[in-house]
Amino acid sequence: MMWQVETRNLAMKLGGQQILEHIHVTAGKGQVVGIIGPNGSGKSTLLKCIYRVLQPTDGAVYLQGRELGQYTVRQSAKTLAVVAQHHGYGFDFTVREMVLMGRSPYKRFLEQDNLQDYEIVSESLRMVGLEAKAERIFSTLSGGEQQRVILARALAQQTPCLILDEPTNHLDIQFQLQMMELIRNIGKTVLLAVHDLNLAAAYCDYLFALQDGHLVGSGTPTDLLTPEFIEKVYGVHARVGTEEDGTPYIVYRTARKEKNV
Amino acid sequence: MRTLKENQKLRMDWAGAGVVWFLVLLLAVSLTAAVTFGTMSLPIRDVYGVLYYKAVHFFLGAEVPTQWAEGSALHDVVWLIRLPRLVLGAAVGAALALCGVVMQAIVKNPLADPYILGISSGASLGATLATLFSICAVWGTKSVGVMAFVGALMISCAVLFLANLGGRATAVKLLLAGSALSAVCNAFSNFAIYLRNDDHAPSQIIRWTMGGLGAANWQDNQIFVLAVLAGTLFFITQCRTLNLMLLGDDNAVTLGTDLHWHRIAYLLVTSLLIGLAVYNAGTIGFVGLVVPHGVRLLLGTDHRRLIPVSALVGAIFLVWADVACRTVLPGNEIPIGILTSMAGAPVFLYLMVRHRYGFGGSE
Amino acid sequence: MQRKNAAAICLTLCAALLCACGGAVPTAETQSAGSTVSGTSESAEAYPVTVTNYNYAGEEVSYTYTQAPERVVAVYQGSIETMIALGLEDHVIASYGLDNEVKEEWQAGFADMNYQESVFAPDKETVTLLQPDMILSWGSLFSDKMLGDVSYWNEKGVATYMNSNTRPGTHARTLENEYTDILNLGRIFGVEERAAAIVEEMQSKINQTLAAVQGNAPVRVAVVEPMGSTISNYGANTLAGDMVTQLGGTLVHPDGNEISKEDLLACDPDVIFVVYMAYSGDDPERVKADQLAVIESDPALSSLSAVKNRRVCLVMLGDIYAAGPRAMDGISTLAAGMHPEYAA
Repeated sequence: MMWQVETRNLAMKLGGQQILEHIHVTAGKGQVVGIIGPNGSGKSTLLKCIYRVLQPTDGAVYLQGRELGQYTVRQSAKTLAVVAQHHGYGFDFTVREMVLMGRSPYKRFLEQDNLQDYEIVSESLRMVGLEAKAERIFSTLSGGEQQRVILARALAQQTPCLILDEPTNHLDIQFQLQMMELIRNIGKTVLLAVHDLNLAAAYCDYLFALQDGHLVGSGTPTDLLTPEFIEKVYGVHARVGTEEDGTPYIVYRTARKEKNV
Repeated sequence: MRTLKENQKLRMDWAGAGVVWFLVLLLAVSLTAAVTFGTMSLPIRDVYGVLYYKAVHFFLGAEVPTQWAEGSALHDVVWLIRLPRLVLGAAVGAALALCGVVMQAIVKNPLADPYILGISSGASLGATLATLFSICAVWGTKSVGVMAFVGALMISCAVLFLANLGGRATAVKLLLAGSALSAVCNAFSNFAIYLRNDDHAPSQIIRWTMGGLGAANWQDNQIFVLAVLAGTLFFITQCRTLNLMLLGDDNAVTLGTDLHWHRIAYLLVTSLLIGLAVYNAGTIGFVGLVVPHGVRLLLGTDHRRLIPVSALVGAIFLVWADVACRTVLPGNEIPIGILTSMAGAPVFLYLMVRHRYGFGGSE
Repeated sequence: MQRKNAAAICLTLCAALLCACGGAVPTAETQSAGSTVSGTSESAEAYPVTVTNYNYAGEEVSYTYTQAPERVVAVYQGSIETMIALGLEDHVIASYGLDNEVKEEWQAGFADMNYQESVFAPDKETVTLLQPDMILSWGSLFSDKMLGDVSYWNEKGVATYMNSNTRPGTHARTLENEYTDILNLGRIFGVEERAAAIVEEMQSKINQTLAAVQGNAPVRVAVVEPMGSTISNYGANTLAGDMVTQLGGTLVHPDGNEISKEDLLACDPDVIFVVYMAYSGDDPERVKADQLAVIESDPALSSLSAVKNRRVCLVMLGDIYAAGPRAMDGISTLAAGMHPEYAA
């Protein structure tokens, strides 16, 4: 089987510190693959290596079976769209202008945006539920809305693969679920870093767990998310239950609960 | 549905194009009107007489009445003094506003002006050396301007080089290298002035750096106007990349553009334009900062509108600023750099307060 | 007083910061330069006359006059006063840029100079419309942002002449240059005799002084101009320095355009000349008192012999800076201060 996204023996050193080592991560066509692990375990760094912002010190990234280095930046942007952790921008763009930028990898020198681009933009905005705010200034939106605009921009790129770095940060629970639902049903190969194990369990097909830059486990949520594993990686006691549809859910045992047991 | 969207898109495009054509017209009208203003009041009939016969003579070879012919004082004032000066003003204004927009994108900082990366200090150092040590004396009176141009270009190259040491240049590294080199240049200028002990030189250098359009002539204008036109066209082709630049390197890469080489190319083009502007008119403050922000306020950040509109607004602004310089105090001419800062800063502050303009900096 | 506010603001900005380029207020002095000159202005020399002067790069430029210029634009104090002193006021169509009133004896001639009060320095446009055949000024007026360089005008058949001491570049400013300018203008307008007489008077004043003090040890002199927190020094390369040397004095601080109080104490000159410049709106007496006080009333400087012996003298900037015929006043003032026992 040809992986849509794959890292082989990836290693990353930053400022003399080994951030990642021996990382093998794969995502098959149409799969939603989650990267889990505590803060500082290297999730973001791994994703940055995949979306070309960082150059891995060792190993390689493969997109649809081809090494990433063989893609031009423009080509990889047509294959892989990214919703990175968002930091504010110092200039005012409207939401529509922001999403239109998702069309840039398709634009030749001097080519104008055409009707089709505008339609794709409207469609992307509709998918994230922000069609009504197309003419608003991006920076005046709430953090969650901004996150959804960036997702709309990634959708407008019309790529087979999508990478998201903690896409549910800043979002209300309602929108967290909406966002994950959207990602789930988008029909793309998705690689995302997730903080919330319950979301990971509910929406991912497969999980990779990172701890201190090493891969410490992988598997389907049901296989991987055992109380023992959670204690080993996160250092907390948890109880894992199963929903009627078979998805696992996790309840954390706080010190207070422990006492009452 | 489709027609609605079509209309929407067309409306946006037409609005943009309409503004640009309106401004082109306004610039033409401004130039034609401004030529009637001067330190001396000339009858309007004489002013347009000179221009009309200049055109008629050029295209049809017609005979020119002697009072308006080449060599007459009227001809010299209108054709050799006023018009080149206005054209230079328009070109300098366009160049400053254009480079302001681009610099703000390059360093991703809304407070950047065209001179921010050490260009003006480099130019001043060049001017100082030329004035004090008669370097480049083969250029005669132009030596100061030529050295300023060379200084500006050398400093921006040095900034680029330094910012690229130990990894790729980022906006922050560019800013830091720019301010560090500015400080070095200023220190050397002052040191040179101090060492030289020439009581004439400092006032000469100050007068020169203050900026002014009085040195305008057709030969230099030709090159400069062409450069400004070429620069504007170049950046119009780069609008998409300039937009991406504001999102930063990381975003740009994921959207299919590696900014590294673009940034270097843009810096070289802006340095060239600013170097030429400095050579022709010294440093003129605030235009490069105020005009782009004013335009952003009204039309938004999209460079497809920002680039052409800023260039045109800059041109029109400086044409009228220069008229004001020559007419506010009858018979006296205020250095234009002083006027643009005096008038520009309050207007800027007013816009900022009035519109709660935060440069998009919501955080 | 002649100048309008705006020009004053612009100019004082530069001037106050960076050593003035200007004249001075009238002094009480009664000695008159040019009083001994005959009134004739006929010349034996036939035109064309070729005279060498400078361009804005400080290079020598020659210009050939086929007749005495009839439409002269004269800008700044020295240019105006030179034209009057040479009796050439009827050759002038417009004049500009006085720092001070012209001296008493030149007032009559000044009435014919068509002086423009509203403008301090005319611009290119104004001068073009005046259609002059000669521009007489200082070097700074020919910068590319003022009138433009001399070649532009010369090509149009407009002669230009700049005071040699004001030409750009780092050259010594000398009395000789002032003589040359007066003599050159004499040749250009065919009034050599009158020009020679003005120069003659200055030279004879110097020679008389030298003869009188022959055998004395040279007087040790400092010419200084207090400017805010610093004190400017007039060294060997300045006109004032050249005057001092020619009058048999020695400059205690020939190099450097500033002098610290410590240096002044170390040099301990016999005489200190304090330069003053009353800009329009200033009370000249007040300016003089203030400038003197900087040296005389500073406790740190009270041990200076010049202060103790009350040999701190005032000299007006206009008399020692691109002075033209006023150089005579500068020479007299310096001579009187350096050799009070022989002063007339």
